[in-house]
Amino acid sequence: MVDLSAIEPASFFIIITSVINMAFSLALVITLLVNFFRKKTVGTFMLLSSYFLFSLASAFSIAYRISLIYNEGVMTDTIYQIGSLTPLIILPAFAFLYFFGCRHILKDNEIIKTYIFAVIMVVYGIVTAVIAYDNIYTHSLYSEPTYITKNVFAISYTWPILLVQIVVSIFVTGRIGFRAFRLARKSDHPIRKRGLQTISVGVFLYLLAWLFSALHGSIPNIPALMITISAFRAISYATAYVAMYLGWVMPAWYRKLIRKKSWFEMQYQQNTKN
Amino acid sequence: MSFLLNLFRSRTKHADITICGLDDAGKTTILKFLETGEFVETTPTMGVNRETLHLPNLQINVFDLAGQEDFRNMWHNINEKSDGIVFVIDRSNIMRFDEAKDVFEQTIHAQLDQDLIILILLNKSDESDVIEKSLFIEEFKLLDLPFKWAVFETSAKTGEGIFNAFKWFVDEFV
Repeated sequence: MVDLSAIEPASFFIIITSVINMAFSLALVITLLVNFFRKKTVGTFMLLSSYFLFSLASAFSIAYRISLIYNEGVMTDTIYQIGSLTPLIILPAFAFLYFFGCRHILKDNEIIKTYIFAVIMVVYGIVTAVIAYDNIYTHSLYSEPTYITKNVFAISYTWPILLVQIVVSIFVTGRIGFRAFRLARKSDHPIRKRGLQTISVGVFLYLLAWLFSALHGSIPNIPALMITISAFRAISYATAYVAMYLGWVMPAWYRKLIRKKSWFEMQYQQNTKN
Repeated sequence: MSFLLNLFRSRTKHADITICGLDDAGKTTILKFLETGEFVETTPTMGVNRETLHLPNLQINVFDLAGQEDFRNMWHNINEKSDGIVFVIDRSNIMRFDEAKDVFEQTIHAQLDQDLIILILLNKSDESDVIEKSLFIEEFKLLDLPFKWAVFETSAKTGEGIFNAFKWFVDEFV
């Protein structure tokens, strides 16, 4: 059994924030599931699949970290495999998100969509092959854990894998966010406008959280710095999930909040009062 | 048990209504007037505009359907789920009167729900040389209709008659 006293508070803080983030992402998946059963459209299914995979990746990431602590920092083949599953889950999640974006926000034609899908698949194939090779032979995709039982959370992917994820995420979510922002500026309809603005904010916060994640995995093991970046990362993720829930699902209470009373509603209420 | 069910049952009624009529009759302008209380220039509707009115104990989903001939064959899909129909007529356009009459008859005869409520708006009342309400009722054979109906003279430019027309309509659902 792991000696918990040997683990620095920074590690506890990071694991707690990761679990809270996981809870937020799970809540988003549940609301998207409810939304899918209500609407039963291809779009809602794609969005649900995308965020389900993001949540799954997040769960694997947490499982990997907890397993390492539990195993007193000793990396085993199983733990290594759990950790290496994350990019394999995240890339299809972005593919689903891209196709959802194409239905509602992006204006890519069929040829561009096919090219982009082909590129994502090729990247996915390469990443899968590299991870499989690494799992069998090299075990070098993860950077070496320096302070095993103290700051195991500093362990992250080495730059090549991280870079692929960052490029794909910026390409997909960045485009959706930017396009949503532009559409919001052009829109006259208040609900649509605010919905697109919220999506845009949510997507950019998500990218910011990714940036903090990247920093988190590459900075030196200084507990204060780790805690600060973890806190920013957790806040970015949590607010991104809330914003994306509001933007993608647009619950009735949010619509009501945005929408001012129409002329007829005001006249009718005044008339019935008199 | 029924007490508990009543306690949690939503007291807000829901109704779906559609706004039909020939193209350029002023359907979207009326919808915009309901929203803003002023005349708003609009472009021809392609497909459907949707607006929701939240009234005390009643939520009305308003579907404004495109009036062009190409879109009319999709009306029945939306109309058959409707609790009420608003039919808008450009009362200043005598040239298209027969066409409006044909479309009105097709729309009404496709309805199966006997409780359907029909509101007919003689729009563009601000213009000169318009058809008289009594003549319109006679020409459109409204007295033979098996549904509850009413005709109002309106203008989406000046706002004339719009509130009274929709108040009558809404009160029928409450």
